[in-house]
Amino acid sequence: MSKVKLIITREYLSRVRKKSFIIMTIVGPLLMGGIFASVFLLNKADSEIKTIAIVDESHIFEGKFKSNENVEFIYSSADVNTLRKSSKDSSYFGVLHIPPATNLASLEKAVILYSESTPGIDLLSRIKFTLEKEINTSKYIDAGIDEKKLQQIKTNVDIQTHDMENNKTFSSLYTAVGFAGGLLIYMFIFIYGAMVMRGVLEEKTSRIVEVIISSVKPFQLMLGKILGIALVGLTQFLLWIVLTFFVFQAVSVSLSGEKSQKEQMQEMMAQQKMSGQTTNVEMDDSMQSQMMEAIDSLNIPLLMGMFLFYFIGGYLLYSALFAAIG
Amino acid sequence: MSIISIKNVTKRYASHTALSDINLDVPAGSVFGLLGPNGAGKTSLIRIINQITAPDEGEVFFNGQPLKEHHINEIGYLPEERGLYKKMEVGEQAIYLAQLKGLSRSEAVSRLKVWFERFEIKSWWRKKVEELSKGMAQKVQFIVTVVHEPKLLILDEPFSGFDPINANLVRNELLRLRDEGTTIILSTHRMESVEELCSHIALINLSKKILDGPVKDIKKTYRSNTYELEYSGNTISLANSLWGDFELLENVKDEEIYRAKIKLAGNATTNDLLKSLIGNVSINGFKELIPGMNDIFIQLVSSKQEVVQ
Repeated sequence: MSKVKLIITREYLSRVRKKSFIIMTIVGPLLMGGIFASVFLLNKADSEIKTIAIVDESHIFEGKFKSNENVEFIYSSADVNTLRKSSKDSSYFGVLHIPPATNLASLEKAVILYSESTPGIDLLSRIKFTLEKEINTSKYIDAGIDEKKLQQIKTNVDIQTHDMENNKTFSSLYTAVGFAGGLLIYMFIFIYGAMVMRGVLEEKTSRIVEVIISSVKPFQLMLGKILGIALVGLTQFLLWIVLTFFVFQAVSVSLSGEKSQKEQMQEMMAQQKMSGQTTNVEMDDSMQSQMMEAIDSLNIPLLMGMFLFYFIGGYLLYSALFAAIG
Repeated sequence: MSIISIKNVTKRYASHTALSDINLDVPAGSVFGLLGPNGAGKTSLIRIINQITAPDEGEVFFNGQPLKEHHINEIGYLPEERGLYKKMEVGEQAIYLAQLKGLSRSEAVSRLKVWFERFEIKSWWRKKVEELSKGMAQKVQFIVTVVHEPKLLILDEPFSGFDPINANLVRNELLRLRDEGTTIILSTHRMESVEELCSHIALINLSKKILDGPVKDIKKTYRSNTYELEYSGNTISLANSLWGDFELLENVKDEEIYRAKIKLAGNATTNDLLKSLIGNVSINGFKELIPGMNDIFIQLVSSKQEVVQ
């Protein structure tokens, strides 16, 4: 056993002291932080108010498009082509042309958005949502359906899941956690399994393997190597988690000035209230409490236990296969 | 007393038989030459003694006990295909390999420091192996093979890769270890090393042992009763003196001196030969032509191959 310990120590230290390990351990979280920061910055860059001129020749949508902090809708009676040509002078981001409606069906495919650059999905879905909503309303009226009654008729079934002890369960969260755990295991197996293979290859090409297996059994050598590299992996993961946490903290603080997370949340909620979005504060609160409840319902010790079981089992199996290939 | 006894060992790889019913005893304290042409089965036998592979049939005994895992610490093995971890520091690697042979860290460090000083390589301690030349790495490999003071040292082509100065250094160390009681098994194709170092040999060819025993006895067995005579005078007088039991094999003139090879036949002795020579030629030198291990090796291996063909 002491020989296996020696091999584990060598395999572990020789890898942990490598420059590539140190660089990867530092670069990994920085990369994650960088991605986070760049997404944030891109959003910020995108947050300047875009002005869309609406030429509504159908007169169905008058006053229906609501501006918010990102988009400002201006109704115009000018000619579409004139507006398009003068868009630079009038600093319009785009011109939404809704042609006269001979029938509602023809309108569904006839709306055109002219814009300086390709519009974002957010903007498009916002416009699409308003158009669909208003066309639907017009269709209800045409068909003699009372919209209020229709809304009352609409059903939204929400099955609550409970276990036999009557504790609430959350299937989708469990699926997500399972998927994330599986992804982590998959990554670990392939990154560190390949490391085992490279280690075996190194011993063969440097021809030290003959010297080693005259001192220890090949099984001890393989076990020591696999366990040593598993520890390298765990160390790297642990460092990544810790460093990523600090990098995220640093990035979020530097990007949002001195505001604390709580203040940010409060601000966001206030903004949503102001803009009169469909999602209101009460709904956010209930979602948050639901999330907390869902997270609380997770059996963390069992989850960790199973994660470690599959993590180690899968790694041992695949790294042994990788070692055999090497 | 034999340190290693090999009893009826057979080893097969798929359809190929590497060793066939080998019986061998390695006397304790000897330098034992394991000889044979390439592919004869020497390395297979060494790997069995080192417990890297197990024999299909037969048994191996170490100091009279069946060979077991704990005997590994009493054996030092320098394989022909040898290497070191390239990215590791020399000192750290030597400590690691010594620890794998059962030494404690502090013991390994103190012994290694003595060996590094003896080989004048103290300055390499913190160097990485990839910075060393082949010969330098060989020195480190030799040290890690002997540092745990094994009772049995198995060296496969230990001199390959060494320049004459370092080869001499290793040879002297081997002789010193032998004098201290270490048994050495030497597998090599360099017959001059065998002549110089080995007290016993075994010759393996085509997976079978064809010869073993003390070098002196083997040489005696293969002596051909041939003598070299250095003389001055004339060749006719020499021919006249060689009648009956003496056969002149060769007679060449080397400047003013003649060199003749004479074989004794029947019951004739060297005294008989000298008696008949005295008075006919003037004798400058006289010695027996003893066959070298090289001659014996070639003679035995080639005759065996002829039989197979």
